[in-house]
Amino acid sequence: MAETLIEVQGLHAGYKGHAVIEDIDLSLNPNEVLCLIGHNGAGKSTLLKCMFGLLPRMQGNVRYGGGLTHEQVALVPEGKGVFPSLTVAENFDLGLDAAKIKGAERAARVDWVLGVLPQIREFLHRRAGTLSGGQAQMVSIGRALLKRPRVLIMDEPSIGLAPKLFQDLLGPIRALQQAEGLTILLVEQNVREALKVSDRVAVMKQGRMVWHGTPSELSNDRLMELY
Amino acid sequence: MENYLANLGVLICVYSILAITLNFIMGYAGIFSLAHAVFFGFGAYTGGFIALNYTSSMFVTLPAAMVVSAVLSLLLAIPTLRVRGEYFVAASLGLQILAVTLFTEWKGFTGGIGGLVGIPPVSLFGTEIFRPTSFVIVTIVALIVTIGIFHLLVHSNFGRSLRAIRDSESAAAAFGKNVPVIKTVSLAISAALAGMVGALYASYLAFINVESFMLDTSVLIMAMVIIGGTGTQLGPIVGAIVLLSLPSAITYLNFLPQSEIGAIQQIIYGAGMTLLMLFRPGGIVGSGGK
Repeated sequence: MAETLIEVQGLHAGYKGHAVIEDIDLSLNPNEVLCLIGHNGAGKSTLLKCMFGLLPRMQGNVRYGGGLTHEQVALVPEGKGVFPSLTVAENFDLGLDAAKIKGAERAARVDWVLGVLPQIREFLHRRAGTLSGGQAQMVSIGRALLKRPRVLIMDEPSIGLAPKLFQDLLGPIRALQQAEGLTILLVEQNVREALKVSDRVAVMKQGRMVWHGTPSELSNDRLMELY
Repeated sequence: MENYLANLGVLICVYSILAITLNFIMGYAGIFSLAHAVFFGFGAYTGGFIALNYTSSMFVTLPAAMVVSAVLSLLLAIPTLRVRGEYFVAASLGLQILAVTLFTEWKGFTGGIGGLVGIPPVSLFGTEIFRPTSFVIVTIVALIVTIGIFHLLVHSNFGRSLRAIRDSESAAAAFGKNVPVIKTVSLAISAALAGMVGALYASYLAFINVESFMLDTSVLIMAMVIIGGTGTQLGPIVGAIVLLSLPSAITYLNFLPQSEIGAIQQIIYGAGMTLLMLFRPGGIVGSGGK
């Protein structure tokens, strides 16, 4: 079996000395879509920040395995995170700058992303502030993909999107994941839609990991009980 | 009449450059400064002081004015640009008030309340330029160069970073942008060019004193940017033309009582700005929507 890409063991983390998440164990395996669900305040975003190296841990470990480096992990932040006064192409330029991609490779990466998410081509030169919620989210995902990550972490990408639009958005990402062996950690509150595209599910409640398994093991009754 | 129009042209070019430089930090970086007249003033005093005591060559006075104003901007930027925007506004207001005291009291450099008198005209390759009709060409060239510099900056990686910072400092930082350094450099560039035009202004008028560099001037420059259109390239020039031409235009309305012209100008300014903010908050050139 391939080595786990991110292994979280006994993790405690929080803000100003106050632990928000406690004793978290989680593993992210190669070429899977792991869905992390939980209510507001369950600690999902805090866990994500620790996994991405944006928040120091108080206790426990976050270990990258299988040769994974920080540079190979891309984050799609909550709330789309596009720069509204920049065009979509300029938003992509910032993503390329951050990934330190230079020269002809920059255009090649943009072309590759436009191949994955071809709808972006229609509004590539529009200001991001004029895009619909779904288009902006697509740009945010496209910008994260520019670094051709091995792991893509998406923090609540469904916020503000209709279920159909969310599925339309995730369809090409799921196809890319299966074609290129991308590993995805999807943090969501929109449980039903997220489960449709996930291989495994982990449920958080009040800062603790309370359940994990496959979507088929998570019955409606069990979900109601956990939530 | 020719000299009158040339004089108006010089002032429009000078204030257009000031508005463009303020717009660069205000419209593209989201830095609201109430101290722009200070950079303009230090440039003017530096240029005037050098012209009076050493040489009036613009290859000396203009670069010296730029350096002094840029260095001064660093004194404001380094401690304040790391904190939230409203602290910078307060700090810039403090600098403006402090600078007025300095301009008034530092007699050895500024001439005190009486100012610097008899500043020699700027010279270019040994030729002195003093007639308004000649000077207007110098200021038009300076305006074109300024427009060119800021056009290149706004459309460069640096300009893209500035706009990203204006949208969200934390997100820009997450994309590897060094927010305090970029903001500090943008303020230094803006201050340097405001200082440069200050030196031109001093040599044109041959006399400067503190009254040209007070808070009123900073507010006037900001009004030009807002009325013309913040974050647009043409807006600051349009704002400068409108705000400088309006007083002249009003004096030609013979049916108005000449003794009340000042008050009428204030009423028109106030009403105009209120209507603009209500119906075209993006300014004359900016987007029309609220």
